[in-house]
Amino acid sequence: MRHRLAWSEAGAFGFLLLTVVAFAAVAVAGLAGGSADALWVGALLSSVVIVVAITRHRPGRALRTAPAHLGEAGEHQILVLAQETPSEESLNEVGSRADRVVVVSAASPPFLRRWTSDIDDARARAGSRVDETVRRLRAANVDATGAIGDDDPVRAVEDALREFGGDEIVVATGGSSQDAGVAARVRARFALPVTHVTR
Amino acid sequence: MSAPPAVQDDRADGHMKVLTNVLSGAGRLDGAGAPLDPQPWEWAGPHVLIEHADEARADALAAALRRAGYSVACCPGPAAGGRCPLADDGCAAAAGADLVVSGLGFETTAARDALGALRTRLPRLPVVLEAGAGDAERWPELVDGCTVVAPPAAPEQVVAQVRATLRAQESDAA
Repeated sequence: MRHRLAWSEAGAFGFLLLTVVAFAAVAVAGLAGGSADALWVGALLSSVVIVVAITRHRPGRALRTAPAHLGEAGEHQILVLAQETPSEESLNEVGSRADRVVVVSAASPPFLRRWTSDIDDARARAGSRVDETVRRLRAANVDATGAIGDDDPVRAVEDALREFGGDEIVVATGGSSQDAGVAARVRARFALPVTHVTR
Repeated sequence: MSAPPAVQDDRADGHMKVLTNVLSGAGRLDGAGAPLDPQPWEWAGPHVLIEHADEARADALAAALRRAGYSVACCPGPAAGGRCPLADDGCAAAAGADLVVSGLGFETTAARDALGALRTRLPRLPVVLEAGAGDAERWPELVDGCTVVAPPAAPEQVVAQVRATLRAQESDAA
């Protein structure tokens, strides 16, 4: 993955310029007012450099990709990323439009738990979401299958598309701002229609 | 007597930029630069790169091409105020494509530069180009050699041209 701040040569050059200006200011402060002042000016300008670099970051519009249609011609397959178990209404709507539904859920453990490989609970919850969603779809006579995906939701979708295919993606979440970020990432990554449903 | 300039209109700057980039190795296609993220051609099947600033139009083309059995990557081209994926990612993506559907238009220098860069760097890559009759007359060096469809062509019509172009290329190769 590309470094967040080095998104282009121009961006990297701007960052370099800001850093040079900051160092110059620190040097001037050091010469004029002594080392304590230089420390304060350095801390302040370092913060400015970081804030400006981050706020200037524009990710641009990256490539969106999608695999060829898998399955029968004319068959419409929907991939549901179940980060929450979708509502009955959402599932009915999905089932009414799909010939086949694939449900995938990313475990997405919190950072510390992922770092310590303590992901069993998160995977168990992901498994429950998949089981419940598939059970409800099948109860409505929808051809549905499911799997626990990668910890990263986008990677989980990618793997599912490769294995099962999909003509449309439905991202089901709890509705937090973090969840909206997941939907945005999926939308930015795949050249497929993406719908975000919340409970 | 001095030699006439190689290019006499406002396209000179763009072409010189392309030439400079190629000579300096900028935007090289050998993978020496930053890796593409995502990798555009991780999917199986013939690969079609769709270059279109209009996301809805790109999605309609993508859907039709996917139904016809092609994997797709959509590139928005030079976006106003944003970085230009075509300057690095786009061309690198095109390097792995079997065909490019280009609908960036000819209105802006950036769009013409993008098409010019593509044609210069990958001259054998087939291009299905959305272009009006006036475009072909005004920008022949960009349009010649492309399969031209008049905008707004129905997605199915574009798919038919993609299929025909790839078939013709296979016949030429054989």
